[in-house]
Amino acid sequence: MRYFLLLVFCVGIFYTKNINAQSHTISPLPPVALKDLQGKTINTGDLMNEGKPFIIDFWATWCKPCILELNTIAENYEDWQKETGVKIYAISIDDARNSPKVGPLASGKGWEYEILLDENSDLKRALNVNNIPHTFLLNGKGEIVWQHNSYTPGDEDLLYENLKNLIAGKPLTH
Amino acid sequence: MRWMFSIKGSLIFIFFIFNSVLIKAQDKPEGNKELGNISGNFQTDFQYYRTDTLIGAPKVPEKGLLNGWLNLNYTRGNFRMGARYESYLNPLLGFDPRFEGTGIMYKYAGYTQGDLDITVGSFYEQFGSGMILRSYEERQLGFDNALEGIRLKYRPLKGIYLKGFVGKMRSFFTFGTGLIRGADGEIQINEIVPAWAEKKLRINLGGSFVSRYQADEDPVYKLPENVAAGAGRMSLYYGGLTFYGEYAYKVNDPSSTNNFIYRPGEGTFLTASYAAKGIGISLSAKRIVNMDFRADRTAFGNNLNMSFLPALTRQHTYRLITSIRMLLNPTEK
Repeated sequence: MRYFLLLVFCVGIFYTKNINAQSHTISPLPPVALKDLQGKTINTGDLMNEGKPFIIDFWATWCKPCILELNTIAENYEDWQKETGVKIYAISIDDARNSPKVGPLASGKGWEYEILLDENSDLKRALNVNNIPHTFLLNGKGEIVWQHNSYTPGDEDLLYENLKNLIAGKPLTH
Repeated sequence: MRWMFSIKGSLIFIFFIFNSVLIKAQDKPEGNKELGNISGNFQTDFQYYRTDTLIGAPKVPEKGLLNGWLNLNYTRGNFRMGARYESYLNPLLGFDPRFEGTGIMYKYAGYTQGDLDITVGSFYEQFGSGMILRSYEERQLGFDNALEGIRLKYRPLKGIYLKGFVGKMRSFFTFGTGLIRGADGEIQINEIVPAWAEKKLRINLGGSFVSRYQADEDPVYKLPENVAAGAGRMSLYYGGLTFYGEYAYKVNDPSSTNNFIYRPGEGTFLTASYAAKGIGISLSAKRIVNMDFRADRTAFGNNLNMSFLPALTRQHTYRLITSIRMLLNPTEK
């Protein structure tokens, strides 16, 4: 019995399952006001990449997997940009306690992303994000075409593969 | 949930099954703009408990507890509406037992027309750093103080942002007694003054006001029925250098958290940070005196907080230290 329960424990703890049934659906970004690190108000409608696809990644300074993900992508970000012209918006959901630390953390890590603040989680809520990290891939028109929740090493390859698929007009995979 | 963290040794007595299923179904065929867009998600957290007499874990007669949330959002052009169904049967250990029940406490409809935005129903709002008003949801921490009423947001000029609302605050599956009114304004100087548009120095100024009305039904004390609080803030940006300062003041507000004293409240929050390639420095200082502000003067526990006064200056990764909002006495620190 003890071993059985141990097994249940091992299998059951933090067993998170994602069912995404949206591979062929497209939705626009809801209108929400964010702030950049220079205190400028940025509306979600302003999130654009000159007609090219872009990525929105929700993160926070206290979220270890998010930082791992963004660090991993940062290593290849220059190559990604060269090959696809992609832009990444890293949107922090840190509250007033930590939002002043977002800029120092991002530059300390040497990230080249566009960092935005969603201090009261308004955009997070509007996009049905439960847990972070949560990554959205958007097409050149600013419509969500693909999304992924959580991060395990290797997920960045899936994201990049889908980015290339999107540009090539191929179906996206999960 | 302290016992959660005291699992030690080779035998594991307490088993958790934390099973979270997120189902997302966004159904809109491409190009069909007539029907609008429906999106939603569903989350359930289930925990199975076994008693452990050695570590003094609390007994859970139900054996299994479950929290569930279902969100639905609909948007069509400038119009949006949505609702969240919540179920706490019964609330997981560590959640306030007053959550017990099911229902739809969050529902809203909203419309955006150019620079004007109106929300009817539930909404979340934050003024400045939240010292006099922050309504937000952090479901993993068992906290949700959504406001229900009417909110207007308006941008009369480029660089001027105004917000105003009237509402009542959520308290589990009911609402707090107090009637809350609030207004906030922010001026982004560099947006207004064309000559400043490209300046390296950026200045934002803001001010906010919140008032609570609650009838005085106390047989002994003469309590203030209208309690007002105001705050002023300034942010400066110069290259990688950022400064933020906010000062808040609240008139006398005898409440059960300050033992019914008549002393006014005061709060100061200062942060400075510097960020350059490969380096980041951040400093913050805070002084809070009697600033606990609730939507009901008799509220207790983690409930009906209007002011956001986190006890720790850092937001932590783990739940235990994040969930204790009032680790220190909010009346003085």
